[in-house]
Formats: sequence, C-alpha cells, structure tokens
Amino acid sequence: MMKDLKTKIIILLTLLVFISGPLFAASDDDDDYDTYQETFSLGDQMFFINGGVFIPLFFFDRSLDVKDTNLTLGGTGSLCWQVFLTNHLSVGAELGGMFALSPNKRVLYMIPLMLKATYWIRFYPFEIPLSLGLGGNLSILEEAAHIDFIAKPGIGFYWNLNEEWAFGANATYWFVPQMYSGSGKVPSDNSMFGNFMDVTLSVLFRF
Amino acid sequence: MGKKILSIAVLLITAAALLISCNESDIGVFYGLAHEEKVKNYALPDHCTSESMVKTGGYLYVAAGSIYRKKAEGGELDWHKVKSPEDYHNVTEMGLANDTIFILAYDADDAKPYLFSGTGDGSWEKKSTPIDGKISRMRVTNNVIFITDRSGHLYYSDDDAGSFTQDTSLPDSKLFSTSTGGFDMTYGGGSYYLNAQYDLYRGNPGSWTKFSPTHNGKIWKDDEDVFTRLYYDEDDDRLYTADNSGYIYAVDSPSGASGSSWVKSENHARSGMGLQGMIVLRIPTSTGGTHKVLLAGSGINAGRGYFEVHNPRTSDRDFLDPEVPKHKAATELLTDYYDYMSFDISKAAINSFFIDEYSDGNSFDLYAQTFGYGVWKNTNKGGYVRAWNQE
Repeated sequence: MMKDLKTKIIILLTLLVFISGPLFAASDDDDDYDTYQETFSLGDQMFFINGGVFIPLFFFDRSLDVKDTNLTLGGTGSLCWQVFLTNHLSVGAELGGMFALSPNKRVLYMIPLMLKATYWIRFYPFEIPLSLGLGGNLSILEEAAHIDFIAKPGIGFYWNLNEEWAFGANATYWFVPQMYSGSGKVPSDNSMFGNFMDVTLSVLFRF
Repeated sequence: MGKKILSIAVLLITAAALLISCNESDIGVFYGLAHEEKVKNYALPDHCTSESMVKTGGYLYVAAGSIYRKKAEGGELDWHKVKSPEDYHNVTEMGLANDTIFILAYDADDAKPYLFSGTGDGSWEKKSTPIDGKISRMRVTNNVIFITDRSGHLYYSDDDAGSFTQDTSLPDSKLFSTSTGGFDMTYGGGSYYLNAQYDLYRGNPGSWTKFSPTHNGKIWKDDEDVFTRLYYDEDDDRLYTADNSGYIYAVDSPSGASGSSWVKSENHARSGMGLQGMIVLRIPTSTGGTHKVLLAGSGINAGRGYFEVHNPRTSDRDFLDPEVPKHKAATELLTDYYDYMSFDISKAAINSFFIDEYSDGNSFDLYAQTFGYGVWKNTNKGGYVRAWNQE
C-alpha cells in the first residue's frame, strides 16, 4: 500500500516536474521579456528610414468645400531620429520628402521637418507606435513655394528582429493648412487645407 | 545630446520659415493644384507665333507659320493644316476681303514675302504688288488691303489686290519701322484709322489727317513711346489705342472727334508693360445683364498675359486703367484659373484677340494669339466660361 502510495507520489512529482518545468521556463521567458521591455530608458536612441507611397486625399477651402487634389499617387521617404524619454515614450525629429504629379505633369514636392513624439505599445516581438509629428512643411510647385504648418499623426506595426533591428510599416496622415494672408501676391482666398496620407515600409535601428 | 539635436531641429524649422516663405507665383500652391485641368491640345503647334485669324465659309482660319482651319462656332475642336502656297512657307499674316483670304507667305528659297489670295481650300494665287518680296506688314479692314514695305511706305488695294496704290498722303519715311512694330489699321463709323507708330491718322486710303491723342496742345505720350494697336468698339462707337508704356487711350465718336477728345488712362499696366492686341467683350451675367470688359494683351517686351479693364469709360481716366494681369480674372469673368502650365497664357505676349461669335447670339469663342506660345481659346456659352486652353 505504502509502496503504491510512494510510487504514486513519485509519478505525481515527476509529472509536476514535467508540467511545471515549461511553466517555470515560460515564467523565466516572461521575465526576459519584461527585462527586454524595460531596457528602454531615458537616452536610448533609435533611427528610422522610411519609404513608400504618398496618397493624395483632398483639399478643402475655408468654406469647407472639398476639392480634388488632382495629384497622382506619389513617392515619399523620411529619416527620423528619436530618443526614449521613458520605456513607452520617445521624441525626436523627422525630415521627409514627397513628390506627386499634377495633371500636366508638374511635380509637387513637399519637405516636412518636424518634431515627433511616439508612444509605443508592445506585445513582443511586435510593437505598435502611435506618433504625432508637428512642424513646418515646404511645398514647391514650379516657381511657387510656401512654408506651412504640418501635423502628421500616424500608426505603425513593427516586428523586432532583435534588440537593435526592427522592421515594420507605417500609415501617416498629413494635414497641411496652407494659409495666405493676402498681403503678398497670393490672395487670401487661395488658402487651402491639404489632406494626404502615406503608407511606408520602415527599418528601425536602436542604439 | 538629444536636447541639442532638438534645439537644432527647432532652429532649422524657424530658419526655413523665415527664409523660404516666398512665393514667386501669384497663385497658391494647393489652390493651383485644385484648379488645374489637363491641357488638351488641338493640333496647333504649342510654340507658334500667330497674329491674325479670319472667319469665312463656316470655318476659322489662322496663320501660325502654316495655315490651319477648323469649323467655326465650336463645330470642331481639332485644327487641320491647309496646304500653303507651293514653294512658300512661313505664313505670317492673314486677312479677309470680300470672302477671299489674303496671306503673306515667304519664298522657301530666298525667304522673301509675297501676297497670296485663296478661298481656304489650299489653292492659292500669287498676287502682284509694287513691293513683291519687300512686304513688311499687311492689314485687311473693310475689304481694303493695306501693305507696307520695310521703308515705311503704305500701299492699299480696294479691288481684292487687283492693283495697289501707294498712299502719298502720309510722310513716306519711318512711318512703320520694322524694329519697333506698331503698324495697325482699323475701320469703324465711316472712317479708317491708321496707327503709324508715333502718330495716329484718320481718314480714308489716300487721304489721312493726324488724329493722335493730344493734351495741352501736345501729343499725349512720351516722345520715345509708340502707339501699338487700334481697336474700334462698334457698340460704343469708341476707338481704343495703347502704347508701349502700357497706357490705354480711348475716344468716343471718333469719326468726328478731335485729338483733344482722347482720354488717356490715369495709370499704366504694371511695370509699364507695353500693350498689344485689344478687344472689348460683353459677357452675359447671371442677372441677365452684360458685363463689359476690355482686354489688352501684354507686349513682347513683357509676356504677362493680358490686362483687363472692367466697364471701361471715358468719363474718368481711372476707368481706363489696366489692372494687374488677369490671367485669373478678378471677377472670374473669363476663367477661373490657369497658372498651371509650364508655359501658359499668363506668361505669353498676346499679339491679337479674335472672337468667334455663335449664331445663337449668346455664346462665343475667344481666341488669344501669342508670340511664341501658340493660340489659346476661351469658350463662353451663355455666361458659363471655361478656362483658357491651348489650341
């Protein structure tokens, strides 16, 4: 009887070891993930290279009348540097550029230079950055050029290859209110609000 | 380090905003895109120079190096090349007398100009003139053909170029210098009017008297300036002229007026740009009325499209002032927008305007003939006006 009980206890302990082994192991991994996530702290930096498709959406004027942009799909790219303030929040600067063609093959260029903040949502090995960039945007269309404010909210999805490298995609909205006071050569009724978006692939390097 | 880089970024944005907030265009970037229309091309060379156009037999004809025609009153969009006189090319001028088309064409071998007549079907008859090979300019008005030579002599024919008479009632030298242009002729209210650059004349072929605008007993322009073009507005019985400093002149009932009856615009076109071809349009408005506007094309020294004078009047000099170039019409009379081409009408010197009025009495096609930027059309159908489009 005792032998049977001892045998059962040994079997049970053996099972517990086999069962609990992976559990403990998983627990160890979780600890690793937590350790990994907590790696980012004030001063950690990262660098992005983005490239993709620029999608013109629409303009609207001060009367909120929506106008076609008359632009083709275009190309866009940007370089972004950010530094972590906390494990989930990073800030930095981004310099970008885009081009798209008008119906008469005129090329619109826009060059945004922005300060950018990003909030990181993580479920390893994936990350979802929610970003907002604010800054200045230089629009150039042949001899016409204008500097405007720009706001670029965006969302991304990244896969971490390792602690340094990650790859992902972003979708970003471009809001460019192009305002003319009428004091120059351009009348004030030429003011328009530009609405665009881009979809880009991205390479991220942390250092 | 991060703080430093952020500071640099802020500085860069600020500097860029301060240094590059310029706009060489007078159209907003996004606004221009929103109103851009794809240019259609109706078979005329985009960089041709053109000055004259006629309408006869249901067709429009234009001299633009070669001769082109299409059905008038919007019956056809594409222009078709008409055969030029054999062994002659570069058709530069065109006029209509008694339903016969007269052209100046240059000999392909020696590049000398000759006069031809035809009915527009591609068969041309060479006409004999006293200045064959030396013709400088041609105008046809009220069925009289006027030609000048490079020495400034004027000849005319009132029998469809059957014979030409030298007009000896004018000073015979330097009337029409080829270097400064300015020769023009028009007819209205029973009189012919002649622009001989430094003076205007009124009368009939072979019998002219000076009719220049005068003020305080002197001719009312700067000595070095020349008059450029003439335009007679039949509805108002008013004659217009302009000069190469950008002033517009007008006189009512010109057939009986004196030189001192002319009114000169208080101000000239922006930057003193010379003015060329003129036309008065009466555009139906949404309220059932019409809006009168004088268009004056900028000259070759400027190339700034055309200027508009809304509701021109002679009661006050201000009412003749050419405004800033209105390739975008201030009151959207002619078009909404077209500063969207690398070459567009706002950058062109406009030699002439031609109006093709529809038989419905309510529509017209307005053509602008430019120096080196082709021919442009603006269609007005019952008050609805489209943008300029290059032909």
